[in-house]
Amino acid sequence: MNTPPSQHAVGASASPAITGALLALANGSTDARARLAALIYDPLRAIAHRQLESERAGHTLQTTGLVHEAYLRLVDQQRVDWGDRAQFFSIAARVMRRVLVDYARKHRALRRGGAYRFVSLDNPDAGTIAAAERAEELIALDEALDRLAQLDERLSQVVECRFFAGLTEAETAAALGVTPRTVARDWVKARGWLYQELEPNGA
Amino acid sequence: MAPDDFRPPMLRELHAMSPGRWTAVNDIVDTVLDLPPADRAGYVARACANDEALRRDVERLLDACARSAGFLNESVGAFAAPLIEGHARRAAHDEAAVLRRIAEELRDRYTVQRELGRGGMAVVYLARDVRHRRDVALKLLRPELAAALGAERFLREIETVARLAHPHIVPLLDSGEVHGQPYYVMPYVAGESLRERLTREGPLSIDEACRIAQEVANALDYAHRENVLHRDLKPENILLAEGLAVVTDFGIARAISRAAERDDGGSTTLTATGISLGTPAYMSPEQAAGSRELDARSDVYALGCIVYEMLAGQPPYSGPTAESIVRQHMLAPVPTLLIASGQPSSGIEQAVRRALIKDRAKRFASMRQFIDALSEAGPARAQPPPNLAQSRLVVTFRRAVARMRGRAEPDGG
Repeated sequence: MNTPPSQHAVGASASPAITGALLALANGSTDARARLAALIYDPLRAIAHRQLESERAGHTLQTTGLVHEAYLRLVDQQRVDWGDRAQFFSIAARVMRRVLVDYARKHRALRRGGAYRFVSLDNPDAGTIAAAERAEELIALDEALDRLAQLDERLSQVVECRFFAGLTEAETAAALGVTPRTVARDWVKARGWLYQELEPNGA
Repeated sequence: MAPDDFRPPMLRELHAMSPGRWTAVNDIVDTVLDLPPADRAGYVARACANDEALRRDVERLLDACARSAGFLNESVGAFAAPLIEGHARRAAHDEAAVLRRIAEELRDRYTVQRELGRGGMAVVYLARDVRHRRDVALKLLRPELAAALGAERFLREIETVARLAHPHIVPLLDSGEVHGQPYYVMPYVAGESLRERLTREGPLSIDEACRIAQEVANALDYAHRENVLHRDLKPENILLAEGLAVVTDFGIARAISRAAERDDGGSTTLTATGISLGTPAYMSPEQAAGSRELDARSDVYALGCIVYEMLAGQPPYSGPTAESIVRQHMLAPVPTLLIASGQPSSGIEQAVRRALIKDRAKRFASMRQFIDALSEAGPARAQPPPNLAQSRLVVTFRRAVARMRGRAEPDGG
């Protein structure tokens, strides 16, 4: 039925800049990480946005699929190897965190600015309250992760990979260059630390 | 958590730890996590023998670890669902506002009726062509795409498509721009897409698959002679109207990619939108590799995948992620075509196999060769291309189109 081109369209527009930054990172360039994160922010957000739009019913973001899709679309597969791919995932995980936290901040700003009122008038449902709660929780988690990173950078990266990007233990291990067993331990410690950090009144 | 007065928790001891203390705590906890539960308390006691404060910190973290087993265990997508839903609702609200503005602007020519579908590049609406009193498909290029490409540039590229006139190609009727938002208009084809047919019926008979393949191949062959590639051929873009196959969205992928090509030859403008062209299941290896030099053989490959799917009930390569599918197009051996309807046909198997060869130099060099191979193998007769105007098929098609358009025009032609 006059269906438009599928949202799954991929390939053929790999970004030379992104591929180049990934290769520079592999060659030890120190600023390549930040450059790469800046380059993939917009595309990743756009892909997330379209995924949400095309699944009008569920509105569940499949971040695992998103970072894989971003890799496929943005990186010239011919020029990078498996190790570069892992690096890309660790950075995409951080970007995914930023995309989601930005949703939360935007939500908070809109709500405080009163721009959200029309939603609650149109749809006076519990959804908006839950949304506000999740926004605050995400922002709190984000801030706690920053504090955790000061203590132990890798623990925060494990949370980005496992929680924000939905990577498996094995994928996270490859992305961070450690063993799966280390990821498993880090994941337990990071959750424990964050849990305590975010617990109301220290329980 | 109370949203408004939420503050980061008071400084707690764990967080206030010095780096040296953290390293010590971390090492002990790492060891403990690898021990069986029964041995843990003993180890902590030994490791912190003379340091009560260290022991407190270790136990506090271990205790938090034990209590946080369910914490962050759902996917972030599920966790953030209510938030994201609000966001999507707002976006839909914004989109509806944009559509209202466009509809208002176009109302002398088209009245927008309802959404027919949405994809990566465009949202499609059913609209009424006011002047000609017919239904049309009004397609709005996605706003972020329009912004990245520039409406003017896209519309200039799409002109190439306008000159295609073939009974098996859905023509471009109109195109334009409202508030920087490009749109293009095609006839509304009542019927179903090949995708819908395959979903409904499963694999087709050899007869039927060959007939559809040949109609599509004839359309492609004609377009190739006019120097237009489809570049995004897939069952969603093949419409079955009154039983005949018509190919839609011809050259749109090309128009987008050409519009995106800036002076440096790169397509960085597309990158920022996260949109790229082609569809994994039907993407030729050279397209997957990002080659800019595509030719008729990429469309041959895509059609090969579609014929495979019509007969086998599934495309040659599938997988959980787009990435895995693309890798298979590039690297995996071509799977053997198992014709689901049961009648084996070595001729068709060979033709499909040849269309799917990874090295395009060894594929059919043109769509015409693929058509010839299919018609030699298949029970369906290829329609003779030179005399299309007289063919029974075309007369039937013209009647169908006449019915679709005015419903007032007399039958026959």
